[in-house]
Amino acid sequence: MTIGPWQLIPRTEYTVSSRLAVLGLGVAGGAVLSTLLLLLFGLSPVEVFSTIIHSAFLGGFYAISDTLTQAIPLILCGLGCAVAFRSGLWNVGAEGQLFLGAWAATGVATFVVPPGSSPVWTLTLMALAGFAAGALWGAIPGILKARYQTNEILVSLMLVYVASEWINYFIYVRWSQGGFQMTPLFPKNAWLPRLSDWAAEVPSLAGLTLHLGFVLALLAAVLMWFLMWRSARGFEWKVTGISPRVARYAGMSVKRNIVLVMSLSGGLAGLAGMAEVAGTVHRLQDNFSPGYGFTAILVAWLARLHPLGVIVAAILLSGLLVGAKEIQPGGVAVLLQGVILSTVIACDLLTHYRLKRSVAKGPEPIPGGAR
Amino acid sequence: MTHPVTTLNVHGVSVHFGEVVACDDVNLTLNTGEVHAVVGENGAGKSTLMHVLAGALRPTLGTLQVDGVPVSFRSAQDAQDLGISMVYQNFRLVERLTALENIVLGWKKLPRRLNWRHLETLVKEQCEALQLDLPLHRPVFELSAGEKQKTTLLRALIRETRFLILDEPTAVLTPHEAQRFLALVNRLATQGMGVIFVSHKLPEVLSVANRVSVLRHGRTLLSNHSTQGLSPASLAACMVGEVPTELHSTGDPSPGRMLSPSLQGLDLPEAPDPKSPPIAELEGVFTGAEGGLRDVHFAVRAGEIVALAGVSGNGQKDFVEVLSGLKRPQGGRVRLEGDDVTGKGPRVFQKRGVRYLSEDRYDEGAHPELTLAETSFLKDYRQRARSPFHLLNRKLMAFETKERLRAFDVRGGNENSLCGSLSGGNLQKLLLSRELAGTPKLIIVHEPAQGLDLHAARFVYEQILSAAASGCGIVLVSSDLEETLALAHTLYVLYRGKIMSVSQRPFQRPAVGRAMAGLEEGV
Amino acid sequence: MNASFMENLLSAGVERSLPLFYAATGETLSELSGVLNLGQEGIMLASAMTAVAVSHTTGSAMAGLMAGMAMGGAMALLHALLTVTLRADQVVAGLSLVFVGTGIASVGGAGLVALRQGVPHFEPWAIPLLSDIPFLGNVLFNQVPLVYAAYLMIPTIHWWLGHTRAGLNLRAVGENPAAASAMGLSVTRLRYLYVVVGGVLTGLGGASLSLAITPGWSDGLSNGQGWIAIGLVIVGGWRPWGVALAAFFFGTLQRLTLDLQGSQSEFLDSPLVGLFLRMAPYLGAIVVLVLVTRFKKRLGAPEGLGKPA
Repeated sequence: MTIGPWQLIPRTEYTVSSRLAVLGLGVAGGAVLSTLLLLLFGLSPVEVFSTIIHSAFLGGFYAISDTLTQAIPLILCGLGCAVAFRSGLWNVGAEGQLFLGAWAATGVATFVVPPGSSPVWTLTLMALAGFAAGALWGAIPGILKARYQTNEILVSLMLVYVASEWINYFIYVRWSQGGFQMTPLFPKNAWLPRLSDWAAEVPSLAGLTLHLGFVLALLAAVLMWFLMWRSARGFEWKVTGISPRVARYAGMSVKRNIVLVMSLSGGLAGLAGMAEVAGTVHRLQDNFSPGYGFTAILVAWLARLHPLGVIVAAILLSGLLVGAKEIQPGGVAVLLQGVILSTVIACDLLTHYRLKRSVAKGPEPIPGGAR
Repeated sequence: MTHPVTTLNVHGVSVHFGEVVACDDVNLTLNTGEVHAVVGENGAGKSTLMHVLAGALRPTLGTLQVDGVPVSFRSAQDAQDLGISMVYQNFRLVERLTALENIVLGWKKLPRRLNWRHLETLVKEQCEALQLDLPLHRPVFELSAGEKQKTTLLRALIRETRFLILDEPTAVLTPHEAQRFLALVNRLATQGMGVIFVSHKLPEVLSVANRVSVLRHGRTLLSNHSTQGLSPASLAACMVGEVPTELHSTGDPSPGRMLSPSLQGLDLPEAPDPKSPPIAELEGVFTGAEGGLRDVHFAVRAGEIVALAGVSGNGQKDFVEVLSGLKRPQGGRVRLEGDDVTGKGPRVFQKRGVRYLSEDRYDEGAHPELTLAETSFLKDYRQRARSPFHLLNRKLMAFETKERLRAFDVRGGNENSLCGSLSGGNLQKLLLSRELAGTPKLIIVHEPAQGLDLHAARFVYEQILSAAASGCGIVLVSSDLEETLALAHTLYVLYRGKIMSVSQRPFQRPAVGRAMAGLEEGV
Repeated sequence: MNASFMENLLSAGVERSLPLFYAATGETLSELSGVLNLGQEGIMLASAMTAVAVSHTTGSAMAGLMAGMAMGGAMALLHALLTVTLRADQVVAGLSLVFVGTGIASVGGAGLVALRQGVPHFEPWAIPLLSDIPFLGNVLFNQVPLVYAAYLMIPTIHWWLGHTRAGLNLRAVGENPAAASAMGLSVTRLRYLYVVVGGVLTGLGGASLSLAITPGWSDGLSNGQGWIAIGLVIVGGWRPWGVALAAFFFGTLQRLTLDLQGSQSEFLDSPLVGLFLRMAPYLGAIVVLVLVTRFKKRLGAPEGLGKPA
């Protein structure tokens, strides 16, 4: 295979350093291309980038706390995407699963748990409900794919719109607080503890919004790493992702794994929804997610579908989301995400192939000629 | 009728793939009006050379000349413009398009607007001239192998072909179809076409070709030799590198039977007592009216090698999958050691000692993106997992893989490298080591030596035989008749999903051939 | 329901199906060549925004339309570059296009939201005589010119796929790129061509949204129609007529749910019914998708779809 004067030579071994180098190249390319696009739209790239970096990372504890807080749903959804993508399942509906998780957790906090219950039980119940609702929402495309080979990309995406209408109905009508686009604030026992809760003892923690969900997300990442890299199940998922034919031949139950992975993936996104309502907004409200579920696709891809890489990628992208809030117009964050994703996958070629300049006299298989 | 003779000269052609030299200073002269056979064992450089002739590959060194004028091809199209067409082994047809659409696809003279009626008449004329019968408006996936072969041939013919390259054209045909095809090839040559016939079936080569060239390790050992008075024995010797000093002096013109060197002198273990109970049995298995198995009865005993012969695509895939538990039959029963295990799923079969080596080494038995250790434990990873969380014991897996690589002399990678880095032969050895590990009771091997070089093939055969000698039942499913005849105690022939015949050693070759063509039923 | 309700519904349904039809037809061409383009939603948004921007600046809806198509083509070109030349995964490349398109639309459209409907756009134009046919005349022939272009496009593409050399080449290259290449066709060139042509059509769909159906720009204007269009290709079986009918069905369904929400009945005004009406197009898409994959033996998806050359 060739591209222009270059010959593609498949790599037979992947090294971590080469993959990181390629990734770095992709991100750098994305930065260059973004600069050009921003100029095209009449925005100052210097201003945009410095605003993002400053308000996300360099703006002191508050900035970092904000960034880490927003990274929580990204880590959880990103883990969900990573496990699905690695198993060859394109769950692109994490946003909808997150909505449902948030909805279920809200329902539990507001209507199920009696007032004055212990926070531990309340939050555990909310987390379980969030996970279950997300898992159910993720299982639908999984079951349809396993049973009827229905395209899971389209179904999981359609379900985002359905979920959005569903929670809006509750936000605007059923659970609306006095006709506003929000549900009543949760009782305090349904709040995930945050750093500022200890401000009385440690004054410097005052105003920091980082909540316990962060620890939860980190634990989830470690757990997913074990599951995906070290367990027999994870091995089945990997083989299924590489080739369902091989998995079937090896005697693995491909269909069961499809449903399992999609449920797990949706469950993680649902958990993200729970963490978001219990840790950040403390109610269900309109537009509480700036597209976490979609950014998670990018998180998973940047992390090379590695659960621990998801943490790093999520924090970086969260920085982008936090920083971009300060920038008008509002679409800059999405644009930058898209450009970075494009350049990263453009460079992916280099992880699979080495480029070699064709020698003028070298044999040159013509496409479709020699196998 | 005489035609002006055109000559295609291959002059000192070498093809290098990095370090590997596929063709080394190859010289040939091909004339129109002749059938020129190019023979050689697997990996001798035949295919590479053909790709060079067809414009699909550019040579590193050397030139091609048409009537003494040097030509260079930048694409298959360039070669076609000069009247050189290639018929590929796997046909390269677009399955969903009709035969007619495939025939005219990419034709230089095709007008922008297609008048299908006109095109049909055009192709029909060709069919009549060659006495070919082909349903032109059927999509290709509905056609038989023989009809696909005809489609590719017509595709070459309407392009005013002077040189037609046929790459192992009879590999997928029944003996009967093959005979008719060879007659057609002869007819084409007498009409003035130059046919380049690539094959490793020597009797066929000697019956159809006027000249023969032998390639070995990328070099021409014999160039443009007349087939007059050539014996299969001397040609065979030549293929494996021993050029007989007087090729002409061997005065035996009758085409004798030729056995590939990898199959010669193998020690077949004694057949087990036919009264001993079978390890595995199929009883009236049915897997579908179209292309599936129909009423298949089958049995294999410990230490017995049972071969299933037949042209590929006659239900072999269903057969191996039913026997290995991957496919649940729609009707009939499957028994292992007398127990009914119909529909139990592959894990149960695996636990009971059934191993299955798939024909597809790159997207079923293994995959280029899996490491050797993962491939080695593709089925047994759970046995190597530590409870209670089913965590894999990667260290143990790596250790055992290393052992297997050493024991089976797998070269080209360690336990952490990807399968993509192994050659076909080495990968097959690894897969064989996986299936032979432990104490298998029944091993199903599907096309075990396909695409392997002589050494690797020999190694595979020896391992199969030694497994049988140690009491394992073997089911060999193969479209290579020689392989099945040489290795089997019992031979079943499969045709369109039905068992056409069952026979014991010594086999009646003509009867087997007729059964493969669906011409004879019963024993 | 009376005849005039049906007439209005179908007439509006035809109009409403326009963006779906163009995007799904564009996707069909792209997929027939073997390239899955999941970026439809992004392409539609970016081209809808571009169309409004140019239409506003130049004062010509036609210029806006052209610009929208050009935007669609340009974005599809990026997709072709990623998937054909750089052999990137077609799914991820398509998703990246959704981000890029949404971003471009949102950044570029920031200043356009205030324009509302004050943008030059296409008005319905009744075809003389034909539009006088009772019922059908109003449904089919009293539409924006973009609808008439679609009428011409359906049979043209149908004929062109079956009766021209180029159409034959296209069908071959998506089914079996290796075979097509061996027959001297350039897989790379053909795929580039049809991915871009497909993008231009999707761009036309996006522009029809912002220049005809709901004139003006608002963020997230397409509301998932790009995704539905991809589903319609499956439902329509990769054939121009099938895709057109599927688009009409969904366009009418969308219109119906809008009409019902706007009607003055107590039952339909209840929020719960409203919820289901709003979910209906998406749920409907899922149900049809499942039915199609469940009951069709051969789906008709090009064999080479998603595979690099």
